Amino acid sequence: MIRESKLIRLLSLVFAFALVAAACGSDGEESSDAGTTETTAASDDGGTETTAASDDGGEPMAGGEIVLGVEQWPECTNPVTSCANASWTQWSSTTHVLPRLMELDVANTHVASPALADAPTVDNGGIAANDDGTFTLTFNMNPDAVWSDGNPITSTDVKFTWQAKVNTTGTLQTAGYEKIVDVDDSDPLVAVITFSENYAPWPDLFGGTTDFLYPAASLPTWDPADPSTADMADIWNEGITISGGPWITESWTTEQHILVPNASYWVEDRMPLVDRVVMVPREDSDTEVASLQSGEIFAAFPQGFPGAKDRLVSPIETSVGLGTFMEGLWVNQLAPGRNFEITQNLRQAVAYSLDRQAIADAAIGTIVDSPTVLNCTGWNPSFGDWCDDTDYAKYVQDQAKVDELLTADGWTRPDANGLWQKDGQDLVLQWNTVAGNLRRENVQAVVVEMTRPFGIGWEIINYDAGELFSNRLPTLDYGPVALFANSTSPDPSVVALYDIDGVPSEENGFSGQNNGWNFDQNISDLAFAIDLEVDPVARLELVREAGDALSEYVPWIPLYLLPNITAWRGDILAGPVGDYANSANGGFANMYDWSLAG
Amino acid sequence: MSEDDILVVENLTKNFDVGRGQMVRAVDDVSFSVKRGETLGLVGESGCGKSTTARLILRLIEATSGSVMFEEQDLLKLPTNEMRRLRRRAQIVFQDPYASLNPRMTVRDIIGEGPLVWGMKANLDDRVAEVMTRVGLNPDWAKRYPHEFSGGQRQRIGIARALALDPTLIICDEPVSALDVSVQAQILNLLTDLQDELDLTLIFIAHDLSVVRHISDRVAVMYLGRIAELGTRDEVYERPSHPYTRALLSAVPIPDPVTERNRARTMLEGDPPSPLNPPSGCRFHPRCPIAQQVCSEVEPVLGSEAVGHPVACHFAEAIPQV
Amino acid sequence: MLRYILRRIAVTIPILLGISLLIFVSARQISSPEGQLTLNPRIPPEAKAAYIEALGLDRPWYEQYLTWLGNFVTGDFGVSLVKNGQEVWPIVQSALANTLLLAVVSIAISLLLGVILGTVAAVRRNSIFDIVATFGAFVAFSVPVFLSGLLLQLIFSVQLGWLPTAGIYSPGQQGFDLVDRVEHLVLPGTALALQLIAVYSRFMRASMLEVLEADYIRTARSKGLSELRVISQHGVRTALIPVVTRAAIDIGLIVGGLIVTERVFQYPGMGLLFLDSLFAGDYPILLAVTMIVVLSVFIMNLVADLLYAVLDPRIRFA
Ligand SMILES: Nc1ncnc2c1ncn2[C@@H]1O[C@H](COP(=O)(O)OP(=O)(O)OP(=O)(O)O)[C@@H](O)[C@H]1O
Ligand code: SF4
Ligand SMILES: [Mg+2]
Repeated sequence: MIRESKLIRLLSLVFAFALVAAACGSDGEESSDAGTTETTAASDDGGTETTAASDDGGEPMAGGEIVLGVEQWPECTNPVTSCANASWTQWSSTTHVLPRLMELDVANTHVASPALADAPTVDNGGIAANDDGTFTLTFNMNPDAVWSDGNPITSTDVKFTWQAKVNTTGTLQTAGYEKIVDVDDSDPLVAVITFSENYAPWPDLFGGTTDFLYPAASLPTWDPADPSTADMADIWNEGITISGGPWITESWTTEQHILVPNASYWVEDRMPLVDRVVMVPREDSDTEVASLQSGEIFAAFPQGFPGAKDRLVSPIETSVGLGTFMEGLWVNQLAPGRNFEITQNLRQAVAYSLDRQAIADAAIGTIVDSPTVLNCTGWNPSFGDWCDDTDYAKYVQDQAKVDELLTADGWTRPDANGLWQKDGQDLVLQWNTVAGNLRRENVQAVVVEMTRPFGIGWEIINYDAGELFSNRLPTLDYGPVALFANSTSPDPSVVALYDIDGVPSEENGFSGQNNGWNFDQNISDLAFAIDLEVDPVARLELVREAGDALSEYVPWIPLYLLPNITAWRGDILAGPVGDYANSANGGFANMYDWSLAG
Repeated sequence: MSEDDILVVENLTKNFDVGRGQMVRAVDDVSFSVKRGETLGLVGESGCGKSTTARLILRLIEATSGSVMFEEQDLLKLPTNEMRRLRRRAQIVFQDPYASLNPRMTVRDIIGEGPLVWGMKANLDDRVAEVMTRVGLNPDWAKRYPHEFSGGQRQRIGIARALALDPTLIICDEPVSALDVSVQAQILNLLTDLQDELDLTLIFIAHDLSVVRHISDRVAVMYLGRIAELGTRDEVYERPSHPYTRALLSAVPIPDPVTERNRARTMLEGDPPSPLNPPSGCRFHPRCPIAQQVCSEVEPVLGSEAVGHPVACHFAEAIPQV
Repeated sequence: MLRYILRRIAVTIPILLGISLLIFVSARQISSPEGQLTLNPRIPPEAKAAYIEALGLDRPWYEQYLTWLGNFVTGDFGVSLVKNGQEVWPIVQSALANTLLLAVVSIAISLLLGVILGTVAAVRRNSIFDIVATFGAFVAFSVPVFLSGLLLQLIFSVQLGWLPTAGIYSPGQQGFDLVDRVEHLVLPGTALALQLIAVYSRFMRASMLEVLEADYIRTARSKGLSELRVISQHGVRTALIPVVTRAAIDIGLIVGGLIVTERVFQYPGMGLLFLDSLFAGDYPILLAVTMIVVLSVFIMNLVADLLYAVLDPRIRFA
């Protein structure tokens, strides 16, 4: 009896796998039958790697409807409150309907948006550091810019946006806006913004990476004299009802988002080609791929998932961007569990014991063909010039360096195959990450093997995400080493990260953002200086200086960026679909240029 | 086969396949006949194949071989639907009055279902009331469920349900063995009364001889799937000629204490052997008090030569009579 | 009967309270609406603090719990923490309706097919049919939904193009459309039904085998009933009881247990809502979902018990 049921079990499994194999097999056949020639072209506009099948889609045609898959459906669409914290709120909604002052171009560089007549510069007087220590920005509005209700986009909207950013209940982003002392809207076409002090990351206010302009008319009860009336918490939670962008929301529910062209949009070359865009949630990457294969969705913008490069094949075309999330080893110098000081020498020695290319291969090798190692601390190499991608390049495996650094630090290695020791303690570092995250656990496994010959050992303790992010990281109760992702900012404003006074502690209720990573006064000072230096050239020098200092101090060790992928049906969609794979505005940013293949 | 035989069973055999190539010979080459209006007692220890024989006769299970002539028709050769038709004429009352009544049906439905499917729709309720009254049940209880009745009452329901189809033959498979002793006599009396009133033929199955003594005209004793002895009541009770019958009889308490004391005690020892592999020769030989060498080698045939009624024993004539 | 129901309810209330406390504590432990903020260096501490205060997350946990409980008891499910003050009830209500539709439809179909398959397998025990059904049930049961779901998508959506992969309406569909709705119900329903049919057919087969051995089946046969009537009226009817009550309990469980199916098919029901609010740390929704699941399990268990009593006259509630 027992043998019989085992046999049945075995047969059933074989049967199930045969089914899987059949389904997958015929799938693969179809893709090779398509016989398209694949060319891999690395464009030089910031690391977008496009694998495009030869274009046999014929002439693009105007009109029609396109359907897009959204990997994380926003909880709500309010651009000011916590909902705005999710990248997809912006990528699926805000980017397409709200105007900005400055915007990111395809290479993630700040340029004037169509709402502006020009970008403020020191030369045109738009940027002015005043003698009294204040700082003034002057934006000339584009007189053609209008909201979908017909009202012009004016300096009053800038004033309203400022007040809404600061006064909305549950607002998420007040940094920078708090330094604004006044917005002069006496001339509707000129917005004069006065700050209490220099504020170099200004392009990310009212626009840039995550911010937008809101129409004063959206809150009829707004009284400019009473800033507390600028509370937007209760509007636009289920769809933004007005537009100052190429698209306008026709409807938004938890199941779909329908966008149609904004007839009032004033920018000729950004007028949408299709009649309608329907976005639907596809939160499971397998389902997302299946929906692409079946043609139910025409494009998606998934975060790189394991096996992506093998599964996204013709007629699906892909364009891979470096992404905006970096993963690295954070070193908590205040880790409560440590048995010895986490010195600079020790941090450098760890960096010299790692083969970061091998780590990147293990982590994202099934997502992209040639994973690149990240060599910048805090800056994303695909955003502007801030990262020259050399700072950490010196950290390659080097036994001599490790020996030298650790010996100088008082460590000895009595057994040449054993661990380093000091005061009777083995050099074993506790390492935490999110339990169940296969990629990160993979990295841990690779590193444990990798550093053994260098005499550095690990104690791996992983927590679930809630525990790690809500309880341990904020109270510095982790590590000394942790592996997790951090979002990168196109602007090198890094004050919060490296502010030596912002180390979370019991005194400040663990509210600081410098999560124990930097205790170097010089780096902290540089971070502040970077925020205050409004001259881009001088600022770049400061950033480079900070980069050098950080790579010596090694508050953390960068590893790689998590790639984003624009994936689309080459036989259904036409136009520059993959161009924005690397954009902070998401892979759908230029969907006004997309059309149906004829 | 004589004119007034209502049922003639010949060479009836049933092998149960119990898996792994093993067979249980539950009923092995059994032959007997029952006359119209008479009562045949079928007696034997538990597991000897009594119920199986009953079910084979009614074709509730299919026989391996043999024939069952009922009212001049070979039941085992009938097509299924004609067989179903004949079932009405031959009914069965089961041993367990608790399990044999569908607990989710009212008494009315249990009794009335048979007549209903056989087209007696018109005065179904009258019919149900009639048989209920006949078996001594209050017809007002027709709407109740079986679990609301006592064991004796339930067996009356079982009998009423058999009667409802107007059978000529009723097989009673140990109808009282699950009941309290005080109730047993009532049911037995009911059955004999019914037999007289309705001119029924009864096959009455029991595992001890005392129960059937008073109601049987003839008695068949079964052992391990075969008939050991078959005779009239007097032949079997007064002149038991098979050691097994004698053993069964000596297990029957006799009301007279003097006789009881003087009786030759041939108690049965142990349990009957497994029908999976019955003993060689005479199946009874491991437990037989007078077994000889030949008993384990040669199987005795059921023959009347020795004592005038059929007995399957090499030494039937040698058995001392009480 | 009424007293029995009341007593069951009375016993359940403290259990519900205990579970709600447990859920509350663990929901606050494993997910936090402020969690995301901690990681975003661009959010200043003051904004974070103000946000946390606005949500009442800075108050002691028991105070938060009691507030929530007080509202819950009075039928106020509260407002979502993350969906910016949207009422919880309408959100949960639509998810509940979607899941119930999926659950009831697939359970009904599974019950029908499972009962037929199980009955035939039991009646023709050890036949080729029985062996194939046993084997099929084993396959269907042991293949996890994320795999069978993917297979169904690959076969019926990608290869054949007959059915949509996900969602409850075609993209762009607005308002109710029966055909479209049903088309979107087929694959998730099938993925679910595959497992349920496997379970019910096995269950029915075992139950039926037991019933077929029962004496009253022999009684029924001896009445001269046709085999079809014996099996349908006497056999299936009785054998159904445990299967039907099991299905009732399943409805209760499935209300919360479709996380994988709903995620694979992007089906906006309770499972997906649970998952989303868990990730977002939206504990008012999380709690409402879980309490409804617990309640429905409780109610459907009660229904199953009452069903038993209705179907089996021997059972009475004291
Ligand atoms: N369906 C079956 N499959 C296998 N063996 C069976 C089956 N039915 C009966 N048997 C076997 O056949 C033999 C005779 O059984 P049967 O029920 O006819 O005995 P019985 O004389 O009626 O006993 P009891 O007095 O216990 O009712 C027993 O050994 C029993 O185990
Ligand atoms: S044949 Fe032999 S063993 Fe069998 S009953 Fe007669 S004497 Fe006993
Ligand atoms: Mg019996």
